Amino acid sequence: MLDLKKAIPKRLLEEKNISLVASLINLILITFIVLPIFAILVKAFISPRGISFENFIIFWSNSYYREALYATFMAAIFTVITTSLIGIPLAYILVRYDFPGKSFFSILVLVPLIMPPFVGALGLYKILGISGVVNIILVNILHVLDKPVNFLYGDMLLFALSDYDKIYLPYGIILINTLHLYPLIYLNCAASLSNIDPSLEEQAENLGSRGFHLFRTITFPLMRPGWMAGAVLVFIWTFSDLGTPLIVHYFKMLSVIVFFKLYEITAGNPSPVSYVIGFIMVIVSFITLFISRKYISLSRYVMMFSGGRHVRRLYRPSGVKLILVYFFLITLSLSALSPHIGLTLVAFSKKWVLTLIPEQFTLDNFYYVTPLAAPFIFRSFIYSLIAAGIDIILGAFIAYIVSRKLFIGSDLLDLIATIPLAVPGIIFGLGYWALFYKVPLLDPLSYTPIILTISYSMRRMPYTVRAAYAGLLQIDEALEEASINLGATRMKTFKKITLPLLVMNLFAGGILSFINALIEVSTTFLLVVTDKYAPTTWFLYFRALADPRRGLAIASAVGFLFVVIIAVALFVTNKILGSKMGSVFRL
Amino acid sequence: MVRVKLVNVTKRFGDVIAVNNVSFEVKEGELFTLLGPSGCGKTTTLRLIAGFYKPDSGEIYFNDELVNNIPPYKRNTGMVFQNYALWPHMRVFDNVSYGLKLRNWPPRKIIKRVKEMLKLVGLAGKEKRYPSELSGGEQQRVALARALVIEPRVLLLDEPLSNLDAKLRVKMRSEIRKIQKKLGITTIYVTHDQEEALSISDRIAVMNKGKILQIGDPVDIYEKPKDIFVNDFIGTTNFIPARVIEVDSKARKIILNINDQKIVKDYYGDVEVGMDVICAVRPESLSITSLSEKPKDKPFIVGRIDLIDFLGKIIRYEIETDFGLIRVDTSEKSLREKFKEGDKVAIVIEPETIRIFTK
Repeated sequence: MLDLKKAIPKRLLEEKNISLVASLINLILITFIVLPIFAILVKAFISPRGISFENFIIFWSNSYYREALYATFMAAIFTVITTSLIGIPLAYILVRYDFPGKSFFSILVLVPLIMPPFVGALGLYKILGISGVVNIILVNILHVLDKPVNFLYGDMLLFALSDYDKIYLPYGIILINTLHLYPLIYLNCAASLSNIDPSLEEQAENLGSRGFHLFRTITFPLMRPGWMAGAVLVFIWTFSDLGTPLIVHYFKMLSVIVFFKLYEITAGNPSPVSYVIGFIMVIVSFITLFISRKYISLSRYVMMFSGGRHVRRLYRPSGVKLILVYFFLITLSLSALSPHIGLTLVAFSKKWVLTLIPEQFTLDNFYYVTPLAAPFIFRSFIYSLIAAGIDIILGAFIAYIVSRKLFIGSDLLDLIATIPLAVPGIIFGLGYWALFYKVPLLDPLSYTPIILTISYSMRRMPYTVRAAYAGLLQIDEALEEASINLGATRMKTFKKITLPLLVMNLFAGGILSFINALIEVSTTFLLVVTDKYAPTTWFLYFRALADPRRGLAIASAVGFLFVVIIAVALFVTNKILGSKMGSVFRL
Repeated sequence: MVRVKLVNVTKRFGDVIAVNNVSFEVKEGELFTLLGPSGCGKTTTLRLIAGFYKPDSGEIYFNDELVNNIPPYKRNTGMVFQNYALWPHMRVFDNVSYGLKLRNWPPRKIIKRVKEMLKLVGLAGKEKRYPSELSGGEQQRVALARALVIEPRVLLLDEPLSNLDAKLRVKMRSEIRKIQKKLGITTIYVTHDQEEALSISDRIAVMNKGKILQIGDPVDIYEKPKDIFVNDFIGTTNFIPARVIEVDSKARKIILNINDQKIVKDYYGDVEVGMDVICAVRPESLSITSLSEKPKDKPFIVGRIDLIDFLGKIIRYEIETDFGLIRVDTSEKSLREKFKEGDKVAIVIEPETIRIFTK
């Protein structure tokens, strides 16, 4: 490990406290972010017969694993394509066009953000599932199809490399993830697009360019950093998502294999295949992160405004163009809302069989599930609150150290603090098993609450770091220098001057950490073994949905509570952060 | 080669009239400057000519062709933006060849042409650089080459030098002028820097609050400003209040009272006896003497030297008087020893150098 004391330049040694804090933070981040990843990478090469590639051979010689690998890649690649096909035009329309109802649609297209994706999948059961509304319309009303099709579960053969190597396209996963993830592409592209200096496009027009040529040669290349940042998020998310495949019962995904293999670990017999998959996920994440590194680091947040006029380019579409814009936005909004509608209807339905909407509505599902879920919800809140608290403290210090370059390792700190954005939750779960199994106080088996809370806080730390960093950029360093000049130490200045100015940002970032800890699926499912310590997401899948009598209805009721909590929390955050809100969902 | 003509052009943004009934004609091959403070409408006028805005009323002609409804991408103007607007994702070559590719030039001709153009602006061999790898001056040249390479009908320059440091600015402005004359291209140049305008232009239009106040060659603009704003904006000017005490309309002469002294001036405007006017006089047209040496036949103002500012070629005296601060420039080095800050002196006015404006 790095010798941190030596890394501190002499002049900063006077600021002992700040160095101490920086070292401590580095230690924490290395222990809980870097080392677990290392552990996976190492364990992938350890087999009963020593260090070898044997595990990889075992993985590769199994055609089911190979197909899962292909399918996972296909899901990720195609989801990037579909979300881009939605997100890029959406960004262009909402940034560049002016039309009645624009602000309404700007909010509506973001509704997927207030729903955890696995809850969204649940909501789509009765819309796109085998007995869903779409099938009822297509089969029973329009008679387009002979028998219902499950749009959520299933795949289609893209092509076969050999009899044992078939590449499938898991369209259900792609569909659900597309509906959920397009806002990431949209938000990132919109941010890039509105930062483009108008003169760059005017110059091209001046030289004779217009229409699609202008978009292809100037506009898109200039918004590419934003698109790439969004695409990286979408890719890694889909590549490693566990919740959605589990909900739709599509098990030919790497994440699901890791999850099912977990029982071999807890039985004291770690599955080498899990670590091989972990290895693949880490490498894929890091390659993606590395490729887009220059677009991801915190310092990217400094806007690139050059001098000159900033007259926004805004068009008013009319005629056919306007109709197309509305058609696109209305279709998209309806699709984006369908999981919410489905979820709400199911949660409040008494019976819903083969009709377009439920015949009877009731609160019974809530009455039934609330007492059962109460202890789980309580635990969720405790874990998430503590995790958010840790994030607020860490976020404030990390952002401060990175933005003011107080520490020679601040770039490293920036990099490590960015890792959780790119590294999937599965990796955290798996890595913690690999590293902390049977370690006192941290063992996932016996100390679940501790390690779960730590995993939540590490996973979601980027939210507070980013929120604090955005705030720090707006605080003039001279305010701090004035305080230091008057004799205060760095630490004292941070406490008395900087922190009070940052409180709102930290609070907002903390809320986002809290929400995301609340809805965390993959680390939760990997680290929790019994319902003694389990939080709500675990309850939703393993208890509520598993209820043979009315699993879907009560699971939807729990999902509905989730959505309400998130909506409220996001509303509060939005009130605090205002227009800076979007930056939290961006890379 | 093209003439550019604006006839009664007006452009509003909401309630603000950015360009108010502007008319002028730029001759073929002329370097015509729109000069004025920020917000005076000069850039808007330029953007109207480029086609980024449509005039609310009035006509814009290239030769005899009405271009009001021609979109910017069909006007074939070459514009250089204040911030250069170099595309950061393209190399110098791709930036410069962009317009040629759009005009479907064959690749071999493009390469040759871009090379020539980069040589002309002094950037030979920098084709492969990205804009971020160039200095401010080099970026400026790329922007110029990119605008010129398409052989535009009009070259439009929007404060092209404002992002350069003072020395480079002087160098680039003479280079721009040389290239413009060499190519003989009709050019409209926008700046807020009066010195730059005076040095580079064939003719200047001084604008304020959306209106053109005066059009003329640099010497006219400097020496015969028609308007008190123009007088103040171009160069440094002292304004001294005076009163008309006699008007001889036959001889077209008036007699003014400045500081209780009479001076006779030719004057053709409408003034009446008793009217308060303002006398504008350049610092270099004034001189200072000691109180005992002041000439008897010329008007003078007594004041105390507040500041002596050595500016290299000249010395500027800032003198506190009853009429406020008056600035006097002199190149006589001998005066330096003669007067000190705090000394009382007489400022001598040469009546023929005074320009009179009514309030």
